[in-house]
Order: sequence, then C-alpha cells, then structure tokens
Amino acid sequence: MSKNNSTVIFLLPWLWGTTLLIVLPALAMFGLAFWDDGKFSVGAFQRLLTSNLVSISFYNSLFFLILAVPARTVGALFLALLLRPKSHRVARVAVFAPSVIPPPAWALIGLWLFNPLYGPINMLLTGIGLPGINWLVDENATRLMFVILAAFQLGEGFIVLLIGRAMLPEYLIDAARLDGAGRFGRFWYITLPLMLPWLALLTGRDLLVSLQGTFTPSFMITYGGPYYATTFLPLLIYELAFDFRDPALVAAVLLVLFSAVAGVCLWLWQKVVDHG
Amino acid sequence: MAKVGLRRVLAAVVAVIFLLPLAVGGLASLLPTGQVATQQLGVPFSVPFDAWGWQNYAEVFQTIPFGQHLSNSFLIVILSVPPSVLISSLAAFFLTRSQPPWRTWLVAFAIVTMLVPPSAVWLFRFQLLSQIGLVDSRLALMLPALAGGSSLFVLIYFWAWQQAKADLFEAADIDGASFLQAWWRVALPLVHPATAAVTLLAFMLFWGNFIEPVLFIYNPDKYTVPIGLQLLNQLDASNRPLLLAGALIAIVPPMLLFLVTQRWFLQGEWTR
Repeated sequence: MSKNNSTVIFLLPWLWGTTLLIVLPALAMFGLAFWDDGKFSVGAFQRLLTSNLVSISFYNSLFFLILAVPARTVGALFLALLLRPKSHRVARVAVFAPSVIPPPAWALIGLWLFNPLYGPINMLLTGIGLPGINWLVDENATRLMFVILAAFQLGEGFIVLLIGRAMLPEYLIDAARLDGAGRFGRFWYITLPLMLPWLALLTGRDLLVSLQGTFTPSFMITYGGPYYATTFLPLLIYELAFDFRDPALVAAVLLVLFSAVAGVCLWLWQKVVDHG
Repeated sequence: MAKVGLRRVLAAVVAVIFLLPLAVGGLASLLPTGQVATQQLGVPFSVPFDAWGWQNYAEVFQTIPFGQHLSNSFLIVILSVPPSVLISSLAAFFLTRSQPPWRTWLVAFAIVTMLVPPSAVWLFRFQLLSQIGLVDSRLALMLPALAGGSSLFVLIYFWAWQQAKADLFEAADIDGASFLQAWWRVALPLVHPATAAVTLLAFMLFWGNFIEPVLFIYNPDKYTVPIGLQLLNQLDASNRPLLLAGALIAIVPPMLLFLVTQRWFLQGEWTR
C-alpha cells in the first residue's frame, strides 16, 4: 500500500494543530525552567526544593494519586468484568453516567453531598450511629472527599477495560475452565495477566487525568483549603503562573511533573513488555 | 445458579450506588431555599409535593444570565464537535494506512502529547492567543477542534481500525477508491462505536471546559456554562438548592447525548 503524498493533508490539521497548541507551548514552558534573568540557570529547581508551598502541593498530589488511581483502575476492572454480560446494560449505563457530568456541576453536587452539617453523606453516617466526618474542615477528610469524587468518574477506564476484556483470546479462558480452573483461578492466572497491558495503559493515563481533574473541584469548592490541604499541583500552577513573580518555578514544577508521569509510564511499559 | 443470582444482585447494587449522587443532587435541588438550615436528605422526605422548589430553576436564570451562558456553550459545542470528530478520524485513518516507521513515530507523538500536563500549556497558549488577538473570544475556546480535539480521539479511532479487517482497506485500494472514499464508505462504517465515543467525549470536552474560559474570557457576554456555575457559587454560595439546580441544568445536554449514543459503545461487540 503506497502512501500517496497528497493524502498527508488529512494528517496535517491534527499534527500541526497539536504542535501549535500543545507541543510548542509545553516546550516553551519547560524551557522557562532554565531561564533566569535572561540567562541559563537552575535556580528555579533550587527554589523548588526549598519552597514550602511546592512540597505541600506535591505531598497532596501524591496522597491523592496513591488513593484515587488504584480506586479508579481497580474499580473499573471489577466493574468491567462484573458487568460484561449483555443483560447488565442498565448497570453499565448507570456506572458511566457520573462520568458524563461536567466538572463544575460535579463539583457543586459534591459540595452538597459532602456538606458536613446538612449534607446527605453525614446524615447517612449519623443515621446509622457513626460520627459525621468533618468534610471540608478536616484536611485529610477533604482530601478523601476529592478521592471519592474522582473515583465515581471512572467511566473512561471502565470502557477501556470492557474493550480490553472483549479482545482477549477467549479460547485460553475456556481451556482453563475445561481444565477445572475455578472462577478465581481463571481470573488470577489467565485474565489478569492478559489484561496487564490495558491496565498499564490505563494507570499511566489516569495518573495525569485524575490529577488534572482535581483542578475544577479544588478551584470551586475549597480553593486549595483548608490550610492548603487541597492545593494540588494543577491549582498551584494556576496560582503561580498568572502571578508573574516566578514563572521559572512554575516551569520547574511542571517539568518535574511531566518527567514523573512519563517516567512512570515508561516503567509500566517496560514491565508489561517484559511480562510478555 | 447461586452465582448468577449473586452477580445480578451486585450489578443492581452497583447501579444504585452510581446513580445516587445524581439522584440525591436532583432531589436536593428542589428544596425550597431557606430550608437548608436543618439536616435532611432531600425533597420527598421532608417537603410536601406542593412545596417543592421548582422555582429554583427559574431563579438560576434570574441570578445570573444563564440563558446567555447556555447559548454560548451550545454555540461552541456545535461548532467544535463535528470538526473534532472529522479531523481526528481523518488523521487516524491516515495513520492506519501508513507504514512503520512513520506510523510508530506518529502514534508515539499522539501518546506523548496526551501525557503533557494541561497546566503546562496555559501560559504560552495565552501568549499565543494575545499575539493573534484571540484572547477574550469564543473562537479561542474552539481552537482545539481544529486540531482534532485531543490526541486521544485519534488514538481511539486508530485502535478501532486496528481491530477491523485490514483486507477491506486493500480491497478499497484495488478498486481505485481515493483516501476520502475509502474513509467514508469503507472505514467509518466499521467503527460506529468509536464515532459514538469520540462524539460524546468531544462534547464533554467542550461543554465542561472550565479552565480555558477562566483564563481566556473576560467579557461577561461570552461566559460559558462552567463560568456561570462558578458565578452562582460565588454569588450565592449558601443557597445550595439553587447551585444544584444550576448544576442539573448543565448536566442535561451531555447526559441526553450520552443516553442517545451509549447504545453504540456500552453494548454490542464489547459485551458477552
């Protein structure tokens, strides 16, 4: 099949558009990390290491990711496997529905659900005899709230894993069943290893997606509070970037973030490739 | 037998759990304002039907120019979703028909651009827009559509075509079909789930976009729905039923589109 040169024109809008809107601004931003007062400098990275706000923000983001990404990925896997049969159509629609809610609307719904005084969640807790949780007031509870809000919106992962499971060679699983392997055995020894590439892909992407997804709720509900507990990296970057005191610091933070995400993705990719 | 029953029960429980936030939010939006000084679950339980706060929804439009926000958002979405679907699908078809090493590089490009933190592009995209005089315009919010919306859409189509039969494309080639003809008549009909998914995702991308209007739009006439919701949040934060009414209004368009398109990607080939 020959590649006709003139058909390249169909590739170009995406290619050039993405270069102009994403690649060039990102490169310029990363470059800014090394630019101080008109000359090359790594001062921004030194400031990064000593800045309290930056380390709080990294801590918050890490806390969030360690809880939210497994919740979303494992949750999506469980649901994709549970709801595979055609008859569970309504449940599949229900599971995907919260993910369709636009971020600002979801933030406002969260604001109500987690209201510590009048909200339904605390009402339910006190109704069954448990103490209400100090959402929005206690730092860890507020971070947990963000994790829960993120966990409900696992629709994208759900679909990816539905597809992934559907693309597995069924005969391997059938052979295991014929050999007498039980449900769990089939899952653990056959299904799960085969789904690892999909899980790796999903995890890598989800690190970024869920972290970026904290921006709207942290902006609208808490604005980084209480006491900076929900100042995740995207919000920090917003706050610093448009206050031109230290764009190099912002750039350094972004470069570290990008390197970390890319690093994790590469590491996951290696593991999957090795696993075969 | 018991296993099948257990699965059904689990599925039902899961469905209820995932529908609860929306349902509870919706019920609470009908609380008469001023009532939320006591703990209550929502409308049917503590408020008689004739006292339900339907007027909250009207009040949203009185508190902020939500009608204008809605029409701005609709305008942007209508002008952005079709180009996104077209451009991403054409680019992906080009990828499908290309050979390594080009293809590998382009797929890598797509994946890497998806890994760039969106926060990294705000500052310089703002500079770019000021240079070309597009700050404070709705066009600025539509620009990603000209790039196909997102590299994810390209990848979705690409992966969908990877699953389709390659020999069909060769048949089209032998018949002398042009790129566009092969794309329209042979390739696209094979991947309706992908088209449904990309259409929905593109709609959600442009409808729910919060950060870009915050950064780029200053003229209140051009505010979009997400900004409207934030305005509600700032103007009347303690009036939670009002906020929820606004949220519910904002949820309707993407949810309707979802209910229409879900049949293509939540059923069919990917289910047993």
